[in-house]
Amino acid sequence: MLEHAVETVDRDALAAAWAERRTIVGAWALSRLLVVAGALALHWTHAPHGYFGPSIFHRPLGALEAWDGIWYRLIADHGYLLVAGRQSDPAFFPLYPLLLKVAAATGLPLGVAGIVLSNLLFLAALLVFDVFGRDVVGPSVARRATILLAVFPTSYVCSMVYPESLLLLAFAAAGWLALRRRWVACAVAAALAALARPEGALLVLPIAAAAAARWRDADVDERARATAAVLAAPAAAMSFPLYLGWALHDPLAWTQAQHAWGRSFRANGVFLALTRGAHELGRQAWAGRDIGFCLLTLALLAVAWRLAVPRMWIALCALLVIVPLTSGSFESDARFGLVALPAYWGLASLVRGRRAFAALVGVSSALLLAATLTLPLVFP
Amino acid sequence: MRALGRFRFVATAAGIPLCIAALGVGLDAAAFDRPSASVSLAAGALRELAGLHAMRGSEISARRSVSSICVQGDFRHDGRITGGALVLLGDGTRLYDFGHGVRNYDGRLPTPVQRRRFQLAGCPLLLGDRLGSRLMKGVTAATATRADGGWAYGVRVGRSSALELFVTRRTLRPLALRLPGAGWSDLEPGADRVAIAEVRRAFGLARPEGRRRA
Repeated sequence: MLEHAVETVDRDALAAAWAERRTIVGAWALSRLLVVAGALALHWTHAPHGYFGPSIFHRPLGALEAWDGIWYRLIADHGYLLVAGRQSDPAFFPLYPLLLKVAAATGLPLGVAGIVLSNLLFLAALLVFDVFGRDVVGPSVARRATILLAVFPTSYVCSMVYPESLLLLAFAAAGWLALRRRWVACAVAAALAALARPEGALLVLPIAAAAAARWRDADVDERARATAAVLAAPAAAMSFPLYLGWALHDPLAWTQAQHAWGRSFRANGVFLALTRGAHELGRQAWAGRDIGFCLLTLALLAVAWRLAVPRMWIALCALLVIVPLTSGSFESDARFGLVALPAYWGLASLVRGRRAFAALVGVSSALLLAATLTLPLVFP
Repeated sequence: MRALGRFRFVATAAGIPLCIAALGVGLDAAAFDRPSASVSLAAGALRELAGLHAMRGSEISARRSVSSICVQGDFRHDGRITGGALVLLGDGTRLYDFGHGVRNYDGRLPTPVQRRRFQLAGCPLLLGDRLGSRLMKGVTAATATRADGGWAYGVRVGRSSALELFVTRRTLRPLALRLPGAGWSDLEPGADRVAIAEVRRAFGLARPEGRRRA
């Protein structure tokens, strides 16, 4: 009798949870269908040819394994190696290739395992982002923002062999857990973000702000856990140079590799990015994509500022698109801005009407498909 | 009591981040293969190559030995500043490569012999490109051998019949180069200012253009 009651409650809870989240799962499924359809279209038509070689077109979802995906697979296959003066793999942080290796243990080819992994992580990221948003901007804006993130034009990267889905999930989880004062879990999420990409270390800002806001009411134990959560992301980020020091006898291998990729800090980098950006725009229109999305992200963050979004989240997300400019280029800034979570809240707050929202989702979906179809022409 | 509370605070606040850092290193170490000694040696040899901007060469041949000097850098080419390599052979032949294959400065197509000599000149950047791309895929390796009368390492791409760069055991600096079907050349890293100026003059370049490649 009791067992039956528990089973009924479980089933009811599951049904309620599904009913609450099915819109998100639906948006995820439809948006991913668009990306996969785009990749299949590239496979069938072999056009546009762009920078892709025949081996990429040969595989049905080859386009989603391309660009940096090749490097992540190389790390999972062979580990790290610094080749001086050349682009090499210590430029890429270790968590995603590590998960890739685990996923490939199921028997799937590395590329396919990466695509499945990224898509599942993206679904998890959307679900957690929705929960986070409810606590920050309320359920209505949060839900619209989650759907807009699912169909955002640059979100095709979240279906590629890239760590952006993982980073989104870790960012959203760290933010939500910090709000809920679950500091140890927050520390773990922040550490995962910092192991996935270097910008994960910037989570120190919003977590520190959340810890400072609770400091007075907290007892010694909670203060200690909150401090640990603040320090978790930098500590995790530091573990990568330590590993490189052990494996390659060079703790600065990441910096050297970044230099070879043209990603080294310059004091006049932002100025260079702006002047070169204007010049690049004249030469090839693709430069406009990164510049446009950088400006759009900053504008949406300004909108989010007016909502009750924690200021340090705004600061973190502004840094996500501004710090890369210090290397003197806007290159890939559209992708770096993808994890600027408050920008989606800002965007959602602008489209309150159902028609306007539906129109925006439609336009964004069309751009998402177009971005996937033009993958051979320009890297994410 | 207060000391205990302080200890608990520090143990938690510092202990969790330290555990995270240790776990991060441990997971990476467990998950990823460390480069073998042979691959590390090959990477070290490429690091030495990357630090060079000029190379003197001397083709080893039973019939006739031709010296060469390769200078790398950023040069004005077709109205633009482009990275590339200039090779001046001892017989006065001027060859260059700006990323579109070997060209003859005189405008004629380079002969197969000239192409071979260009390769044997051992331009560091071009050698590094050739060896480096394969190194990351784990098909370049270094083995102990003898070259130029002394102990050396041979850095080889892929099969035993492929390009092989010999480097000194102690400093990993280039010693010699073997190309399948093309022969051998002795290499001497670097060149003095006079020699570099001579190459530049031969190619009609009065002064360096922009940054010289390290």
